[in-house]
Amino acid sequence: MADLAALKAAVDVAQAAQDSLIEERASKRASMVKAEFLVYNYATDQQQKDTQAALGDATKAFQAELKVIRSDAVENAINVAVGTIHESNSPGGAN
Amino acid sequence: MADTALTDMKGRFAELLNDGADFQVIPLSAKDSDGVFEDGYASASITNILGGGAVEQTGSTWVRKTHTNGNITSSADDSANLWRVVLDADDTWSAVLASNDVVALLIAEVGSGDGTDRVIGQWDFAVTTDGNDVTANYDQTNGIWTAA
Repeated sequence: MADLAALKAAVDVAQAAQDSLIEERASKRASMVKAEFLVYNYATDQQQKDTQAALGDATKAFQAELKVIRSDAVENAINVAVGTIHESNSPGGAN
Repeated sequence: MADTALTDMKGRFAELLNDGADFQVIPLSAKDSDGVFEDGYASASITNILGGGAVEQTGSTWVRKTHTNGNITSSADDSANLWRVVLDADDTWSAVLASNDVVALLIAEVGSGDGTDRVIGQWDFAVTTDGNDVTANYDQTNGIWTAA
């Protein structure tokens, strides 16, 4: 089982990178003339895509692990319930 | 209720996009009627719109999701001569606990703060949360809505 905390930390790092990029872009958009900003925007197109993709990938990995944990929890709950029923229906059980 | 845009901002969405603006998606737990949303506000700022009938959902893991300019596709001249705007990456929220429902997603600029950033439109997105993940799948062909 993957380390859920590590996966969440990876999401947080990717989100921080996205937030930082947004902040930097907002600052440049406010300070640059439009033509200059468009050149900057075009030049950083791949960086934008990579940052968004990294965030998406980290989020998917985290959510995939969450699904495994949920699935295991449901399975365990079912096993406990079946065990309880089996026990209560056994000779010497409560039933 | 429908996916719609502020009347004053319809033409501006494509313009802002072409100017390099970034956008954000804001989950809402309540929203205005279409008529009030489209034409009822003197200012399109996020602060102003959220000061009306729209209520931002911040419970559980709901947060705003940002989309930088390079991750938004805008194509002009479809069959109805409208702009189609596509958020290239879907948004996902992890393990949203029950009783943190949403009714819509607000689309707005991002970068200068809520008092300045302008709301463009809203997209119907009714979800009853139950602890599972929530994903907003943006239509990669038709866009989330068109802004003429």
